[in-house]
Amino acid sequence: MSSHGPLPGELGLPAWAGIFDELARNRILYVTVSGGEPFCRPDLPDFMHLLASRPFQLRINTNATLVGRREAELLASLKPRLSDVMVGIEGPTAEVHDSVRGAGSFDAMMAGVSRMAESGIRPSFYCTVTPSNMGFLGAIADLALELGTALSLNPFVRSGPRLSAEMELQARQLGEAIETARTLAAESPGRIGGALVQTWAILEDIRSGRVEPRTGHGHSCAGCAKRMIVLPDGWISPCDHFPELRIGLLAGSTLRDVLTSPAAREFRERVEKPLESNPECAACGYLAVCPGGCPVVPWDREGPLGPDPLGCVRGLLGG
Amino acid sequence: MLRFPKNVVFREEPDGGLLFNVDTGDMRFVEALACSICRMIDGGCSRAGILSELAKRYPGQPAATLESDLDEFLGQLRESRMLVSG
Repeated sequence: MSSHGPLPGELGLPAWAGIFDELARNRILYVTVSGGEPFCRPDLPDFMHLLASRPFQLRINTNATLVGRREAELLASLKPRLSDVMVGIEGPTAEVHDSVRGAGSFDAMMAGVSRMAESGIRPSFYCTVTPSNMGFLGAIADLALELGTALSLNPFVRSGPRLSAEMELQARQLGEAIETARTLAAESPGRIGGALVQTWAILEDIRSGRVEPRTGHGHSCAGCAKRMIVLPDGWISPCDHFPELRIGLLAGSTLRDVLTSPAAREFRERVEKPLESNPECAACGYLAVCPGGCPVVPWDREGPLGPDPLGCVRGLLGG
Repeated sequence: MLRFPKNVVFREEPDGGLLFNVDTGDMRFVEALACSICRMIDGGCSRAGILSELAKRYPGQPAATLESDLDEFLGQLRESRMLVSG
């Protein structure tokens, strides 16, 4: 299951081995195992060892609730090839965390992180910032940096119709979250990052005149260019925010075929279309210094892609 | 024989190439000539074979200069554990 609903048709290990071979042939450097929840997969140890026997740097993204001694030992056995274990944290207390993840999730996550620590694993944490937890970011950072190596702060992205609008940050809240993230990052240099901190840095560069003006650029999306998602059934998607946008089936095909398919080309053409093709952006005084933003939220709108509400420079700086 | 260790990936890029150690995260970017040497190593070419190819490409360069430049580059790769022999 994912936040977008069930992901049917999970491939078995032999099919995954073929996919991993194809990724290795194409000299893909980084593979992140994500979900849903990877530890829901009963054959995850074999799956991970298949990956680790090929030349990828690995990361795993887990809620940690299913990590017992055996799972922690599996993670430890994959070092140094496994460079990061990323754990989702939504709040510094059970009350806040469980309001997003469900009753009992916080205690189960903390127990899983303890098992990891016993096996010598210090995870990094990531937090999806919403109106319900944005008042707790300082306490979340304290907990994450006590238990782990780093914290990534990212705004909630309403990338599908099943996701609640109540979890979206409104414009004023987004501005506050960016400032809070920046303050926390300054207090713990090199340990707090993520999209909110990156957005602050981009805005600061623009305010300071450090961005070289340019024209003709589109959205700043790496999907189908520098990154992609392999879904559980072997289909490729540009990004985990786009699980329903399937550009080709990698199982039984080559990566080149998938990434040069009409669907992939259509995706790239749309995200690379110059921002000025959209009237809202064409009239914007920040057009020449705008990094472009993520295409996920405006994707379903008819016509040219509009501004990314989470990265729109005019929206964030005013004017 | 020269080869990249199993944990080192060589990948060609539009403007050169990169060597990436998947265990340490160390990454080294190589420009066009170094990239072509890496391509030869990746294809199973020996030091002598690489020297021979370089001599063909740069006929005006003294053999000793080519040899010392190649050995310096190979030495750097060995030092950073991105190249092994045998």
